[in-house]
Amino acid sequence: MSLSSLRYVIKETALSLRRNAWMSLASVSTVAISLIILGFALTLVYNTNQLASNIESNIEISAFILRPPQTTEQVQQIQAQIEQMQGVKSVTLLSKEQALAQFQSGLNSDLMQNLGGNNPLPDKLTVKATDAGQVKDLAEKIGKISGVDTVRYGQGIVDKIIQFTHWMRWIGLTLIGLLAVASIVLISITIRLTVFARRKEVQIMKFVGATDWFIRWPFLLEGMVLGLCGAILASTVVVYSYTGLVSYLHNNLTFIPVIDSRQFMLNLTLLMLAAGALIGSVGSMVSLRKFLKV
Amino acid sequence: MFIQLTNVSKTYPNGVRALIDASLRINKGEFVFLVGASGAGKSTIIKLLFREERASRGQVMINGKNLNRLREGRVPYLRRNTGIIFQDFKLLPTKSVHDNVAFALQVVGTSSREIREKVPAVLSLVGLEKKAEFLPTQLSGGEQQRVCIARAVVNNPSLVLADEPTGNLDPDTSWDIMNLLLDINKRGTTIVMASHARDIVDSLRKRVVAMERGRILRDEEKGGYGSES
Repeated sequence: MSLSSLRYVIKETALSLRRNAWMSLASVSTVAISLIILGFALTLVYNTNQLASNIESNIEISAFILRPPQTTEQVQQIQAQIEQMQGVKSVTLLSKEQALAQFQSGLNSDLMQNLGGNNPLPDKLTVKATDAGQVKDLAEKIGKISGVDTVRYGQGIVDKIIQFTHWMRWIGLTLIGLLAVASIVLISITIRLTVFARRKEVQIMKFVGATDWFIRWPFLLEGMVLGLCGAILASTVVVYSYTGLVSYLHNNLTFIPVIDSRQFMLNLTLLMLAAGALIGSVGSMVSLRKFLKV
Repeated sequence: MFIQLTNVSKTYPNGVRALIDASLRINKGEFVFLVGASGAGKSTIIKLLFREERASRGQVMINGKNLNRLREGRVPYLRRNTGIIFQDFKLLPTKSVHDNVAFALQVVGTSSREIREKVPAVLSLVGLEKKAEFLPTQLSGGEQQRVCIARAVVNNPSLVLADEPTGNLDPDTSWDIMNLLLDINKRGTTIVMASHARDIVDSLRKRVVAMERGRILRDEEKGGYGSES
């Protein structure tokens, strides 16, 4: 494309955006609203994911060794057996003596004496899994080892968190999908108005031998500009309110872990800008295919 | 050979048979009138020649190229070598005379330098150099048609198609426009003109192709409008 053509395309785009100011505003706002929801949904999904993996990585399996007491060798054998299982990150032993000492330290009286010299506590193995999804299977396997009495882990919690993020993703995706379609429709209507306003020019362009792409460019560019404007608006809103929320949580509700990284914000912004441009160009292409038979 | 129609028929999607088995050969540099009543098929021939329409049957050849087989992407390049003049001028009302002509160059990617050279030259050819900054609405019908002609020939096309160029003009102005077209023809440009203007056709004694209900009735060198000539 030559320099004079480029100048022509840019001039026509600017002119047409001004001519359809209200319609342009409507499309920009719809894109902005969809992308704001996209942005918030994404931050929510990422944060629940992070929260889930935080909780998941802290979920341990407690395996209690059978009473009557096994010998120390037997306990070590069981520990070694578990360590060799797939998906096991670490196994730590809390012997009944240690357990009692821990229990004791919280009390004033000599517990041992009160119990008549019998330690009622079992040896306990604490198992960490490499992957939260395997916790359930692992716990079942450990339960089958002879010498292991009971196995406990955070049954339910893991499943619930996974389910929650799963649903979050689907609801978010559906909402984003619907709004993206609405934005595309509005942009295509805007572009359609532009094509209609300029149908005479388009006809003349065709007659004097302008190529199809030369005719399409200003319209396509207009759609992309609309999409990008919406995206800029949306990312400003999302980034500002998210950083605001993060600093509020940091100061007031420190126990809630939120993602607070520049990289995350940057990626989010770039993603939203790309989505805006994409929505814009798809919107104009829809209109051009239908209304610009060149 | 420059233009060759061989057994061309055109049926529009609504079933109208606009052209039936028409054959025609036009040489380089000719001036050809297409005459006949409305609906005779004159405009259809013009449309076939700049690939606004495709023939339903038969062959339309320009410079050895079969327009039926011309790829969609090549159509713009065919049109850059074809100037088109309309009865209703088709000027852009918000652009000045100069810009209307420059527009035709801009949209085919002509450089600004070339536009600055070519537009004034073609405006003086059509006698509008003093009205370059006027808007079309400030011009008379004849002047508007001159702008349309300037736009059609600014790219130096080897073929000019004119669909009733004098249809909206009074007799005197019509003659001015005809003289302009004859001048352009003298420079070697082939001109195919559809017309209703009996007196113009009769007095110029150019080649006349007479049509009726989609068929070519007559094709005479130095012909007249009516069949009796």
